[in-house]
Amino acid sequence: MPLGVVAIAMVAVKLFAVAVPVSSDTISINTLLAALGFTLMRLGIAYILAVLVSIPLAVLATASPTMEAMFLPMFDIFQSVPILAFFPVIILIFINVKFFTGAAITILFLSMVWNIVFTLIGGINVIPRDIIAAAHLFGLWGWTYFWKVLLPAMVPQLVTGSILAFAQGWNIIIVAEVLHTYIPHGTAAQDLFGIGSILVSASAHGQSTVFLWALCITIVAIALINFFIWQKLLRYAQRFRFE
Amino acid sequence: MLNASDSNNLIVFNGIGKTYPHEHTSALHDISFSVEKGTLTCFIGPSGSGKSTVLKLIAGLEKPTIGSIQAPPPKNISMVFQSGALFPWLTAVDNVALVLQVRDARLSKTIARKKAQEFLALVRLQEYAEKYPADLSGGQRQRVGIARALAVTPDVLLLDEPFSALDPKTTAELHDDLLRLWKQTGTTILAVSHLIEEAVALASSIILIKEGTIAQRYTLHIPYPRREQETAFIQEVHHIRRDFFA
Repeated sequence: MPLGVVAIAMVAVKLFAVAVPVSSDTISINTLLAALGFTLMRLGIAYILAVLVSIPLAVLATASPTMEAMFLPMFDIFQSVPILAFFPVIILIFINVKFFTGAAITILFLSMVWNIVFTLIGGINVIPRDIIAAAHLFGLWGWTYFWKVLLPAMVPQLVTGSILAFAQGWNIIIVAEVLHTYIPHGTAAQDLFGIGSILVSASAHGQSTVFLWALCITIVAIALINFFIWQKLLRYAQRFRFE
Repeated sequence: MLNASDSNNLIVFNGIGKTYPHEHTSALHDISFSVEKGTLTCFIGPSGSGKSTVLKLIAGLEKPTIGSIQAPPPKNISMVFQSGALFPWLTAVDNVALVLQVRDARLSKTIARKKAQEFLALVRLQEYAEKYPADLSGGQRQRVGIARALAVTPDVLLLDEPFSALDPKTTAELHDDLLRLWKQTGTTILAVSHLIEEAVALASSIILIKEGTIAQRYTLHIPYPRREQETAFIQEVHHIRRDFFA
């Protein structure tokens, strides 16, 4: 499934590849919205991958006290390593396959995944012992236990972790889209078309109007996502909370 | 040695001991008793005496460190938990329907829900079928727990202090419901309580557990329904209380 998502991303990027407008003094609102769309697509793909990876990692790490003692320190080290330190290496890998978006998605994924993993581990650890005992007593084991008990029980923490992860993604997006600074002898043409790269490009070229418009659109997008997605999901997740 | 083949015994504990890892004292030691089919047995004792551990051993949720247990297989055992242990993301009817579907994979969701409704009706909760646990009172949640436990038509129903957090009126109502269902279904019931009065009101047999072992066993002959103001009831409570605090 993660490979499928990456494949879809590759096709989408090839179909809608647009250069970053660096030289014009003005930029149309449609271009800004398209840039926002690309940025959201990268964030969305990275987020989906982060969720798909986080859930099994969290389940694995909490499977037994031994597993927890083994995996938690390991995860702690991974999440402490600065993500941007990986970026030049990641870019070099993706340059070879000429898939720059892959580099951006990977860095976004790495910035998101640990937020979700650690909140999910916290969520699994607070499942009441009576609930686990009841589930096992009534025959819920293995996959059935995962689908019917563990996954629903994780929903509140998944939503909280997702909000944190997406916020982290927005923080990283500027770096993730402005690839040329990490490529030896790189040029702005190697940057990815997105709201992050437009912000950097506008700032570098003194295009204050473009910069302000891009900034406003980013803020509005973040606010709308918060209002229409995260707030609704937070309310929905209340139902999954244990008293 | 006690034996399941003796008379009508459904559950037999022979010299059971239970020690948890990282704990120096044993939770249970030298526990031997038998429970006859169709009886309502109540375990009483101070907090931390090991009452709930006995239920967990019967349910197969814990394994004894020493000794042997003869009991029906876990699929024929059901339990009502102190906290209710309902899944908060499922409605009352879906909480019951879920265990029906888990126990019988061939059951469609529609039929499981229909059967679940019947069990909710048994505990007079049919009107609350579509409510989530968070929208139910403590007593209603315990009723759903009882309906869920009965839905799997168990040979043995275990009750782990299910009424301890409820007000006296709700507790009395649930006692009446439990006794009615016991008579109706003939299920063997084992309950844990820290209240002597509750045990005397419900049980045909009481086992007093102190410091991880059986201190006394009582067989009650007071006819149902038992009322707290009746002389026989008061005498029985006094008798047990003496041993409880001895």
